[in-house]
Amino acid sequence: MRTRRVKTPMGASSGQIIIAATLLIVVIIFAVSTMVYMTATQHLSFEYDPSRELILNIDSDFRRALVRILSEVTITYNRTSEINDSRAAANRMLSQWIASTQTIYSTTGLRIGVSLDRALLQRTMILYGHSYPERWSYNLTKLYWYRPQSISSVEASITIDSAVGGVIGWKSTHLMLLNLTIDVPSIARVYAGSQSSPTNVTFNFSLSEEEGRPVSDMTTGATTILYFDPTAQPGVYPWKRAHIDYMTYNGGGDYTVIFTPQFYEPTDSITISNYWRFYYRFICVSVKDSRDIMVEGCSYSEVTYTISERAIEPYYSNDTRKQKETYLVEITPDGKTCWFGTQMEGVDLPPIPPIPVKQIRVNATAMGASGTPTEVPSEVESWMDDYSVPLTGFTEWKRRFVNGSKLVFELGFPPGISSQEVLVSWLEDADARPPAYPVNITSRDIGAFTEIANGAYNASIYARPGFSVWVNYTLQVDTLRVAGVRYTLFGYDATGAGNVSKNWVPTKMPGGNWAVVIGPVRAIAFRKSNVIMNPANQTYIYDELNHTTLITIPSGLPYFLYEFKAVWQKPVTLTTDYMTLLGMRSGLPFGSLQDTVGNLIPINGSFATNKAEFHRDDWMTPSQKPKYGSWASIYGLHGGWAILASDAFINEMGSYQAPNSPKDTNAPPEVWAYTSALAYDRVMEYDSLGYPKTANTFTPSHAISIRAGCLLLEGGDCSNPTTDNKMWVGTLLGKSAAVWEPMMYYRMFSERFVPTISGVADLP
Amino acid sequence: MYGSREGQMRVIEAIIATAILAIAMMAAMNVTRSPNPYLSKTRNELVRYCYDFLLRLAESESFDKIVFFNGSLRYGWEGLMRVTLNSLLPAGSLYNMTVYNVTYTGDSVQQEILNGDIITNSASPANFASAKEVAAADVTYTTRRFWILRIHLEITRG
Repeated sequence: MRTRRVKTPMGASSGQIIIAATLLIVVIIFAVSTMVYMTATQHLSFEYDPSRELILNIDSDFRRALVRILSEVTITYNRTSEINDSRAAANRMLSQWIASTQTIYSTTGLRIGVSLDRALLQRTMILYGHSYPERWSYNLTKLYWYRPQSISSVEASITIDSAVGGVIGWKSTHLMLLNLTIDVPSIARVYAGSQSSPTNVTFNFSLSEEEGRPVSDMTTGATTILYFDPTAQPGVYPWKRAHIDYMTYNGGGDYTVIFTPQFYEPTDSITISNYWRFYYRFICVSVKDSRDIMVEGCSYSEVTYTISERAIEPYYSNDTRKQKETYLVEITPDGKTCWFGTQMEGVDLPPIPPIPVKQIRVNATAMGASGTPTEVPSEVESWMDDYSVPLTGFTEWKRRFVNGSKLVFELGFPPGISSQEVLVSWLEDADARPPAYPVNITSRDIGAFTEIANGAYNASIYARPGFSVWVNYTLQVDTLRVAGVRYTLFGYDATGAGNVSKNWVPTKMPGGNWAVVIGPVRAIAFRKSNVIMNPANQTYIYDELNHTTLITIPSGLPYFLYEFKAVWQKPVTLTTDYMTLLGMRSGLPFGSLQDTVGNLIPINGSFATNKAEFHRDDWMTPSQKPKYGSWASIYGLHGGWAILASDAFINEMGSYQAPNSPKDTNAPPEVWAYTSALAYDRVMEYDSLGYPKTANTFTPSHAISIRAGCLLLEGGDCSNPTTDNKMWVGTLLGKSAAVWEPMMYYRMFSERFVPTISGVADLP
Repeated sequence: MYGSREGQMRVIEAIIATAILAIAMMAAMNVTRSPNPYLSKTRNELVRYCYDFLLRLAESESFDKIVFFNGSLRYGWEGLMRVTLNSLLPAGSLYNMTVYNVTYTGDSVQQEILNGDIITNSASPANFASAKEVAAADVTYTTRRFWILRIHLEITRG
């Protein structure tokens, strides 16, 4: 029998359970899978915070900005020679960068700070004989230039806080620099082939960046080498840019350079041989790297030598009366050192490189060359390129020591001292301020006059001349002890006083306004003009004489220097008697003079007291013809003034002496001594072309050159002088307590007794 | 017969359950599989790429070389910038660059658009709007003449 199995509920439910369990498992699998996926991809839904990239960018740009700032500072300073503007520009640029960057990233929550720190660039060291102090970079940029090893640097730190990115206190310090080192011992002459004389100069230099990284991509176009050309003529700047023949990179930042000097005067073999013997070592190098950062270096950093006087000590050894032997020393870029326009001879002097004038300092000994030099006041003056007259920016310091520059300082020789050591150096720190030496010379305009006070006397000049009822062509000097002495300046067509119908004042005299420039060392009143004034006719003449007058007034010294140079513009005939070169007028009672050049025996006399008197005049008999010597003075008991003629002055006087000129043989040049009517004016004057007159025609080939020192005297009694009505002729007439001064000092203003130079320190 | 059918049903149920499990496992494995490396360039990576790209241009002073000539703005520098970006950015990516000149007058900072022409390779702004992933970056660049530039670059993945 077939039985039927009944489907039980139990059987059906077990199948559903399997399916249900399976679905449950599936759900679990999907849930887990979704969780894993969500976990794996959750970061994708985050907002990315680019703080890292932003900070890297800001830091990178900060570094870039610092490089730009250093570039700007070095280029601007190189161009202007003035660091303040460069530094102000650097600070402005940094502020601009900070403000701009803050603004750009203002929405990102970044806070940017910049600080200026202090970083050691270089420890104290000696390199190629040069001593280097510690060099630090601070105050953003720092430039140590003009040394064989020179550095430009910039240093700053940046801090960034990013609240959003969770970066707090991030800081980065940047120090960028360019280091130039001239290998001084490597400066050498190169002999091409079998030539016996050198043709090229070679030397090595090295360049490195921060962390000592060598600069390997320097080009000749970015390298400037200046060398000194001693063949340059006066008025031509002697420093020239070298044409680089070869520049080889030796690795490690080292370069070798070869250049060929191109001389202004290639046929001047003597001077050129001097170059190869001495001057080839003086070079300046400036480079600009690929970041546009500049640095300048020189192969030397100072000039030391000894200046020896020979005007007084050999004749008045250890004479305690010698208190006025102080020279105004002038140095031009070619290194020539002069006193009163005459070069001090002795040895070749290193030139002064074209560095900013504010870097220059002068040290000198005070009590002999064996002493320790101390800083003395100096000034760098600005003149026309031909050094004919100063420029209005006389002591402007925002410039380099280039053509037209003069370094001037006073150098004194006390009793018993005949040599002093002088050290001219230039500071390496570009932040050096110009020296602030006190200016003790004052100037003021009083009507048409300008009065200059130098501490020893007041000088007043008719600075803005015009026609009036009176005539003035003088420079008046006054002190408390002696007042009212007037130096009569150049004039011509001066009718002799013996011609009763006329005056002895020149008919024609140089015109044009004077200008006065003042520095801490000296003041100069000057005039350069073609104006000739004829006061009698009240007319101006413009086509007769080009003239230049310089009156140099040193600070605190009891003398001034008179220089007059002129050239006739056309053949000019002088129709009346005299040409007056330089003289003195005063009410002082006594006069002394040197009768002939080099004559140590003076002639002393007194002026008339109540009438006109000719004490020395060329209309006297031939045996009484007055002569002229190197000095003449007028004085009283308490002071006086003297003319101490230079050799050029004596030569100028001699040019009017027959047979040296076609001038009247009866009218030789003279020192004219005269008391005017009523004895108001006592006159001593260097004259030429005297009475009787002969028409003298001068051509443009005749250049007039007059130089003289004018010295304030102590004065003294002139006992037993010549009487009023006698000529001051012959030999010693009476004695004078005042003549020792002009006799002691007159050589000081003679070109033959200009100090000499020796002991120039060599380059290491 | 009934016993045979029940056995068959169990087998069928087991097969169905196994199939469901297999499908679920495969689906789960497919869901949790790692993305394609190329396709995994997310927008964030695009942002980083954008910054890195601008930084590289800045480090090589490309902005100085492209925007300026002899210290002055180069005429038509925008075209030169387009050529540069076209050659450096991945093919198919769209970009849009804006260069601002940031000036500082002492009390305020001004940003002026320097480019007179649009620097982009996109035919239409709509292309950027429809792009799925757009990244942007801003960097500053100080030029040799100390112009402070803000470079804004937008980029889409191709």
